[in-house]
Amino acid sequence: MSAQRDTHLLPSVLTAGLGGVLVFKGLSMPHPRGWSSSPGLFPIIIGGVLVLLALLLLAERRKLRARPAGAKVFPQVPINIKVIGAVCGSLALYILALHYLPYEPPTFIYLVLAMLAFGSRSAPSILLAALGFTVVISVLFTRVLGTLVPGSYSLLELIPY
Amino acid sequence: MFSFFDAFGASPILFSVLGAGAGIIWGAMPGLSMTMGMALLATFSYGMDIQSAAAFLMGIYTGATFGGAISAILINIPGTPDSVPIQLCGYPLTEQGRGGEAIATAIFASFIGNWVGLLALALVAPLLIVFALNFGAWEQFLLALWGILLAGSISGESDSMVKGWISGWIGLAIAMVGLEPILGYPRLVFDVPELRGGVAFIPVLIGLFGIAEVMRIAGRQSQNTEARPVGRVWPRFDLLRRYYRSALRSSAIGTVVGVIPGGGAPMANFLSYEIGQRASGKQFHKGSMEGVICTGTSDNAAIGGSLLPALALGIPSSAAIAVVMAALAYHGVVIGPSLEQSQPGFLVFLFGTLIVANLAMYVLGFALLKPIIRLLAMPPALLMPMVAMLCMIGAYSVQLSVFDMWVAIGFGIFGYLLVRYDFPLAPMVFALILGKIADENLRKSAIIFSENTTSQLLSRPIGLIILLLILVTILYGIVTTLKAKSRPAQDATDLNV
Repeated sequence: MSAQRDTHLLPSVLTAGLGGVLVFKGLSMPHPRGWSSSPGLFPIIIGGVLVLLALLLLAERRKLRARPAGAKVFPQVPINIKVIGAVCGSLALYILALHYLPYEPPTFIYLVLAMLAFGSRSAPSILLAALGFTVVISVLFTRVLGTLVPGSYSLLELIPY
Repeated sequence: MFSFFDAFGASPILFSVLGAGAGIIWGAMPGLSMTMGMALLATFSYGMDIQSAAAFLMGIYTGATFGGAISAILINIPGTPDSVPIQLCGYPLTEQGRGGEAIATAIFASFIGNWVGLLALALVAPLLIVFALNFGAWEQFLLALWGILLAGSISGESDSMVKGWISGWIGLAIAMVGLEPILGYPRLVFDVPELRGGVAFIPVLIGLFGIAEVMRIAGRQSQNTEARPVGRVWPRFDLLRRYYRSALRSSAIGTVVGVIPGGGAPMANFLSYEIGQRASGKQFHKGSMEGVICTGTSDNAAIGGSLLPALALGIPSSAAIAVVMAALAYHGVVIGPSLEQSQPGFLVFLFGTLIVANLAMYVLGFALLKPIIRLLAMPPALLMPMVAMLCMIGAYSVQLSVFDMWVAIGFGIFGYLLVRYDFPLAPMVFALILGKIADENLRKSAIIFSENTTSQLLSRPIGLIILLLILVTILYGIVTTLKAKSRPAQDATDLNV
């Protein structure tokens, strides 16, 4: 990964691509009484504007690159793929676990593991925070607000109320 | 038969305080949206008498409107779309160790905004309604379009206005997903049944700001595991005195824009932010107490304004107002033009409940501030996993849909990447809210003015003014973009979302 990442080129290409798809999709939508009442009217406009904006972004890139040598052109921020993978992967596993388990165990386990992964090393703090959060949310949603929590069911449903 | 003074009875005051407290706490929790809070907490009002129920609902509404600003300022996650502008100018203050001061100032600003909104509601309601009635389909479309351009211009100021606009127009594209409102044609659903209902904006908001923020903090975890100091928790009264003009101007903007169909608090706040910034010559996105005052006052002034279309015309200006109307309808009070005939005195009673709710919000805001700050200022290693879980249950609870949890994760990745590439997120959320309004009103006006379109559209004065504002905004953006930039690029970690 280069230290100075081009924050204009890839976004402009993707934006133009998205605009193109919208125009294509919009044109394929029905327009029985002309385009004024067609569901495709606004998608076509949005797509067209996105293509124009992509071109404008390219023009801006050209201006930025024409700066004097040595000047910072683009920011130097890495995209941390591992972080994206870890956060989203763990949340995806959590959602999948909720298909088979009640709300509380996956939530408690997720919190404990995530707090460890985030760098917390105090076992009492982790256990207290994870347990407290899980219990408060379960009670709040199922007993106080009378709504559902994600998951096949809540353990609180097993306790007579 | 109701009267203004009924609102000051023991029971309405008690329930107003309870509602405001619940609203502040709910609004302050990252990932839990105001609309969801309103919908869930409103169920408690069903068992109350009508006076207590109305006071309770107004309390929740006022409290949650302010509460959304707390998480926006302290941990960079807005509780509502309305809180995005205050996040832009408030979170940098937290990074400078002035978060407590910013929130305390926001409480006071909210208080001022509420009072101005209330006064407007009581004094000039008929005038504002006449003004709002001049906004037909064409004007509403133009207003939505201008709002999106404005949001892009403001948010993109830190790097590129074009990127702000792209973010907004991508938001519009996302708003096109689902069954369209006139012919019921499924647009951009790609044979996914869950997409036929469209993409709900709450899971998108949660993903773009909540999940993406968890990723951002996770990425720099090794550098910072300590809680961030928030400084003193007391408003800067000297600044409030100095910026009283900004507060009054933003309150007026909040009230007027709140009344307009398709306007509402998000539009009012972006406009107050932009006008405040232009008037002061400051860059609010670098952290500005004046920015906090501008957005805080307009946000709460819009409460009074946004109630007007509902009270006078029966049109809810936001999802939260729709919840209030539905909850009151449960008690047999149908909000709308015939309210005074069916429930004499209810209108002035509602003004009274708003006054009580405003006072309750102010007192409770300060009382609850320290505990909430202590909670949100806990070490990120403990806080962020809880935020992630709140985001998940927040996304799920809107429609009790697991699909929305996946939507939140997807937009979390998208939001993280957009910020890395210096794209602001605020215009996308704003456009997502306004997209359907813009689409429907564009097509309605195209049908209404199908003959001799151009001359008819240009002969409408309000539409013409908004059209000129749009052109000025576009020209300003293009000129700024094409002009050679002299300032050096900033590190994106220093830029606000």
